[in-house]
Formats: sequence, structure tokens, C-alpha cells
Amino acid sequence: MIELKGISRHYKDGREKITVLEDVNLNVQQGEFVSILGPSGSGKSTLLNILGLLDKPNAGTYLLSGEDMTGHRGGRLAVVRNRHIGFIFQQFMLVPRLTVGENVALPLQYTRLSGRERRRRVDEALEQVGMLARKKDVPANLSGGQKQKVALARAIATSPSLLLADEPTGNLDIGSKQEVVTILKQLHEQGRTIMLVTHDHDLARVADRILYVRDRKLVPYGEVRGKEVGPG
Amino acid sequence: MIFRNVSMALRGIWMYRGRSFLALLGVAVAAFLVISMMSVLYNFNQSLLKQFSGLGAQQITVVPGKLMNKKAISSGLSDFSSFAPSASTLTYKDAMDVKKQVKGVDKAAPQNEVMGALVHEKKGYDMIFTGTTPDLPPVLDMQVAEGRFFTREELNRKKHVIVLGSNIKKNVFGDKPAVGKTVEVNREEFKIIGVLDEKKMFGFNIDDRVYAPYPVVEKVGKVDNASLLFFTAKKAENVPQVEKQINNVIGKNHGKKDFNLVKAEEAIHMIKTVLDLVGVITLAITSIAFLVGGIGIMNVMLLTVKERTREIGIRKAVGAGSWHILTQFLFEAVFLSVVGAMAGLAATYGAMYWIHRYFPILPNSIPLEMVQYTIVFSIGAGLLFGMIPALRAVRIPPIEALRYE
Repeated sequence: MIELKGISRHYKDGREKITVLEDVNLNVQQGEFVSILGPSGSGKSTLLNILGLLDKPNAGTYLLSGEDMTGHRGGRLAVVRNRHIGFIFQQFMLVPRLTVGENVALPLQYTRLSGRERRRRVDEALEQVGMLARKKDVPANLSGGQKQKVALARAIATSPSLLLADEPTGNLDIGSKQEVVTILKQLHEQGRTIMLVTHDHDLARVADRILYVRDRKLVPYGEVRGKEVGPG
Repeated sequence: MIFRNVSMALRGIWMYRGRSFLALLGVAVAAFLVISMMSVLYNFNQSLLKQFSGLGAQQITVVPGKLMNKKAISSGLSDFSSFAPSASTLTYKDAMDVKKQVKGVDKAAPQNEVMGALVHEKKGYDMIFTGTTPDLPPVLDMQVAEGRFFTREELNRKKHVIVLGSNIKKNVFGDKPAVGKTVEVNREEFKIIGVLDEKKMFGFNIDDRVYAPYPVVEKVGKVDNASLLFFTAKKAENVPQVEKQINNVIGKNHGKKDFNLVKAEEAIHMIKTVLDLVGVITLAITSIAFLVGGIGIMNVMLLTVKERTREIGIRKAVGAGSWHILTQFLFEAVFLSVVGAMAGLAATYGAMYWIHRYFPILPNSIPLEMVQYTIVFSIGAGLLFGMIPALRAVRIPPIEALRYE
């Protein structure tokens, strides 16, 4: 489903060129659950942003379901994000002035679905994460765990095949973290491809496969286990 | 999709309702200034045209004064500015000679006038004591409300009879009948034989006048010459020829060209030219107000875009394209602009009502085209001033927008 070939990403800080990712290669099959581990600032979030079409690589090719994404511009990328990708952020990224239901409906606004179908999908997504009862609440009235569950509902509202989670439990207590992990597992069992970025080794173990960002490259976790880092 | 964008835009405006209201107010004030100024001008223009068109195409007025610049006569505006004010040398004889000698002339009404006081029951009332002939009412389309106008016989016999303008009648007699009563002017008695209907005419204040036979006013008011000579041609198509002949007759009487002829059409042309010029200047000045209102909208929208940067990032992350973001912010700007303009329009209707109340001569209508232009112009202004903020929102890279604190 995902194929990265020689992906590089660098930024400029004044005259200095800072390379974050260099010659990254990756293959992820449909329905796979992959965790990406790495210390803060290692470039794992940058990689996830490239996978989510929020950021563009400076070099390399990104194929998503066989379609080359590196050549596309804004319009097509927005459509792909809307139909095929769901995001879960550490900071939840809910719109504070909208209700829970409206936040979940946000990606559906950019589809051609009827109002009735959109409402059905919102209810279905909220039901799946156990937040249907809070549909009319605003995010300010929710706990961190509840906010992340709403973000999860929003991520699955358009039934995307790929879910990208960036430190989804980073701001949660243990109880909420467990709930979110359970939902992620359920979504994976339903056949969704999940890419999870975290520095939490316990959380990473939920995945089928663990990769590690080292020296700006992506390597299998087995190669680094017991060397630079321990299993946490 | 459009409905959803409108709904999102309205919610965005409601979220920042305080500042949105201020931006809207700016446009409303600008729209009020533009529409009210243009409407007043339009109504003034229409009022003048109505008054002058009532005079008819056959009417020719002889005015005293020298033509300063002969070359300027070709333009209506120059006609207006080319007369040097001077004491009138026009006479009753001029008018009568024209009527006798120019076959194409139908009516001749010389007018002399002097400011004076009409005394009734030992009380004096200001008025313009005006002398003329029985030809004046048909020439100026004046209607008699009570009684009658004086006859040619009364004119020739220099009878002390007078006809009151509507304001004079109201001031002196109120609702009581005036016809048959006696009043004094310069200690001489006059019998009231008629009262005129109210008539608004630019340049001719009929309602504040008292009309008497020309020779009587000449003697009682001690007026030497006529201030104006009114003529009507029998046929409109003969006006140029009649004008030429009037010029010859009066020129021969005076031995020089110390008067000039003004046709109703020329007066209309003059007025239109002047008002068009005033209109353009007014539009230019009030457009600056609109520009300021538009900049207000732009500032509010720029601030809104900045404060909603993260929301823009979230929307882009979940699939909003450039078009969705652009239309959302443009709708907000257009909405503010259009609602502001509508508020300005409503305020103008109110203002026109009050202006009409105090200046009944000005109609209180707002031309439909003005309403249409306002709507189109406000949509255009919303699009124009909303475009920069909307494009700024579109151009924020999604990842930067999501990181915005």
C-alpha cells in the first residue's frame, strides 16, 4: 500500500542545511500495523507528515496504492487526504468552537455525501469510539482521553484505508491510553493500515512491525534493539 | 457544498461578532454616504428637470447681462458662467415690442420685482412684490387655487389688484379666505382677487410672491426695469428663428447686446452638466469612504485568518482543498460587505425620509439602479478586500498551520 523510495527531507536554517530524513525506503502492506520509534527530533513526525501528504520530500518517490504522490499538487493531495487518510495527532487538533459531532463531520464536509449519510457516518464513528453520548458537547468540556477518542472518530469518519497516528497517547493518562490502544487494535482488526509514530516502546509493541529512525534513516527495530536503545 | 460554505462562513462571523460588527459598520457608513449623497443629487436633478420641463420646449427667457466670452457659448456649462452680472436694462416695452413684431411669439410676460412688505391689519409680512402680465400663469404653468389672475383690462387700467402666492396667503390669512380682502403695499391699497396654488420651481420662488399688474408694481414699488422677460413660441420647431427675431427687436431697442436668451432646454443642459460634475466629485469622495470600509473588512479578515490558522491546518489535513478554504473566507468577507451595504441602504431610506420632510421639494426616492449598484458593488468590494486574506489562508502550508500556536 505504501512504498517510499529514497525519500529525503531537509530544511534550511539560515545558510545551514539540516537534513532530517535521508534516503528513506519503506514498504507497508494493506492492513499492516507499523510502529515507528525514535527519540524526539529524530524525524519520525516528519516522515509521518510526508506519508500523510502534509509535507513534501525534497527527493524520492512516494507511492500510495500505486499512485505516485510526489508529483501531485494541492488539489489532488487534498482529495487523497480526505478519502484515503485519517490523522490522529498528539494535540488532538479539534476545532474548539465546533461540537464533537461537528468536529467528526469536518472531513465529511469535503465529500459529496448527502446530509443524511454524513449524519449517519458521524453517529457510526462516534459509536465506535464510545462518544456518541457527547455528540453535542464542545471539546472544552472533554478530558484528554475523550478528546483523543473524538479525534479517532474524525479520523475514521470517511472510512479511510490508512490511519496515521502521531504520538496518540502522548498527552493521556494510563487509563485513557489503554482505551485508545484498544480502539486502534479494533480498527486494525477491521482491516485498516495503521502507521503509528511514538517514542513509547510499550505502545510500539501493539504493531505488527516496529521500525526505528536512526541516523536519518529507517531501520528495522531488531537492528537497534540492545544497542542504542533498550525496549523501554 | 456552497450551502455548507455559507454556513461555515456565518459561524465564523458569529464567532468574532464584535469585530465583524465593526467591520460591517464601516461598510454601512460608507454605503450610507455613497447612496444618500448620490440619491440626494439624483433627486435634486430629477426635481430640477421636472420643474424646467414644465416650462416647455417653446419657452424662451431673456435675462439681463453681458456675454463675457463669445467662444464659450457652444458649451452649456460655459453659457451659465459667461454672463457678467449687471443692472437690468430690460423693459416692459421690450416685451411688448417683441409680442407685436415677432409673429412666432405666442405669449409675452415681462417681470419686475422688488422686496417689500404686505400690510394687513397693521401687520407687515415679507414678500416679493412682482409685476407682470396675464400671460405669466400659462408661461410658468401657475395654477390659481382661489379667485382668479388679473385680466388684460385690469393691466391696462393699472388696477390695484393682487394675486397672492401660497406661502403669503398662509402667513397672512392662515386658513381664512383671502379673496376680496384689502391689503396695503407702500401705503397703497390693493384688493386681493386670487391665490395661487403651491408651486416649487428652481430659480423662481412663486409661493413667496405677490403678483400685480406690471405698471402698478413699476410705480408703487419704484422699479425701473424688468428683471426677466418670458416668452413662448407658438411652435417648438420655430424656437431658433423666434430667438433670432427676439434678439433683433431687443437689440434694436437697446442699441447693444446687454441681454441674453436662455431656453428651458439650455437650462436643463446647464443643470445636468453641473450636477453630473458634482456627481462625479461626490462619487470620488465617497468612494474613499468605501475604500476605508473595505480596508476595515480586510483587516478583520486578516486577523481572523491569523487566529484561525490552526483550524485552517486541521481543515486542510482532513481534506479541505484550496477552493474550500478560499470560498469560506471570501464568503465571510462578501457577507460582511453585503450586510453592511444593506444596513447603509436602510439608513439611507431613513435619511431620505427626513430630508423629504424638511425639504419637500426633494423627492425621497432611491433609484432602483442605485440599489442594484450597491448590491453589485458590495459583492465586488467583499471579493476584492476578502481576496488577500483568503489567499493568505490558502497559501499557509498545512503542516505550518497545524504547528501554529
